[in-house]
Amino acid sequence: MIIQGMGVSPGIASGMAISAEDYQTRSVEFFEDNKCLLLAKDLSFDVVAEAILGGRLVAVIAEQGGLCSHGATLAREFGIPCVTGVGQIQDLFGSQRIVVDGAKGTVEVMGVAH
Amino acid sequence: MAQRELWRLWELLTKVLNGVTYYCPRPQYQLSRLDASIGQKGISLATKILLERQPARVHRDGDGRLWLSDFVSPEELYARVVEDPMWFSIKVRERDVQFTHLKNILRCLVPDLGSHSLEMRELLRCLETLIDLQTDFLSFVYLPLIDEYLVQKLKKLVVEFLGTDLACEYVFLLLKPPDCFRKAIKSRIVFDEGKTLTIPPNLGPFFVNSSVDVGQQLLPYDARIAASFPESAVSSGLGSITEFALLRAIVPVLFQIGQEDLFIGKEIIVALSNCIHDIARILVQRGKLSHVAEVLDFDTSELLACARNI
Repeated sequence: MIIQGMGVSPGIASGMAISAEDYQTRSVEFFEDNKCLLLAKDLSFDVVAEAILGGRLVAVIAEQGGLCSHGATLAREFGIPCVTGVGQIQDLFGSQRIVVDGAKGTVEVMGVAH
Repeated sequence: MAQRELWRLWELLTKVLNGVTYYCPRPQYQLSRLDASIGQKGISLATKILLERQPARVHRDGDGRLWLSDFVSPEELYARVVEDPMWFSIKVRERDVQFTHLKNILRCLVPDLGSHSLEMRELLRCLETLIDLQTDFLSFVYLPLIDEYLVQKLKKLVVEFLGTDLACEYVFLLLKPPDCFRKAIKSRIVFDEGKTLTIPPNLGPFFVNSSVDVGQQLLPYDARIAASFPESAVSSGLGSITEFALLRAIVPVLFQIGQEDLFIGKEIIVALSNCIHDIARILVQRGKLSHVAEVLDFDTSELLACARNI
């Protein structure tokens, strides 16, 4: 399944998608290859900044936000792909693997955990 | 232009109160009585400073949400920019003068407040100054309200000349990050308990991209777009040339202003928070409050009056 959103930070990355809350609370072992994709309601600066400082972030997927959002700017500064305008991100929770293309604005769901 | 199109990044709520329509652009933000009181004047003055209209009406509901009436609307701002680009240039310069002054004062205040050793008289002076700074800040902070809308308009226009892939590249270059966060990390960036970013005030103006750099990187694309104009102008009308020139000039400026506002705004809030906490601590010591958090139920005039009585 491919979801079309709006690319706000270029680059391609893949990994397991988790929520901002999980990002804070889960142990290192939870993350596949110690990397993850952040699923966020919006592209607020604090949420993205904290994830970047955590060191495991490879991409961001958000429901809301645009090219001028502070979180998007931050993602571009650190070369982290970011796609926004993706409706209902909760549908992506539990997806085994997601590929994000921040230039094309696509989110590809490779499989869903059962 | 549909209101929703301009406001699409905001969860806009509206309500009618005593026959007056109010809207709440950020319902997820709930402010204490004190925080709302500190911000209210600046928000209200934004209409006067930016659009030379009567100050907007602002009211805080029981949940702490701010509701605005006759406020700066994106539609109005967009119309002003398009009809009178010189107006935009003047406002940017006015803001620059105001904010240079503001940053200089902030750089003097923040180290003193960070020491947590000021006496009440000094804290009160700091608080009054910080409230004025917050008013000045908020009265200009809505200037980039239409940045995203203008970026999308520019992108759509550039797609016509460069195609989708190159247009994306163009926009990413135009909105090149100012690398301020990287610099901030190197300079002891701090997240406080409220996860608010704090940046040492002695860093200098590291926020802004050099417009020369942006211009040079985009020159090949600009030249290509310009070369397409004679043909496209015939098909789409001369309006697109004017529109491109306008958006090309304005978008990077609005973007940089928006980025700088984030850091300055956070710096003011942290300074205010330190100052208010120290005042509240003294009020607790003197038996005027039983807990520091009670100070959030005051408005600014009540807080100043209470603290002056010490």
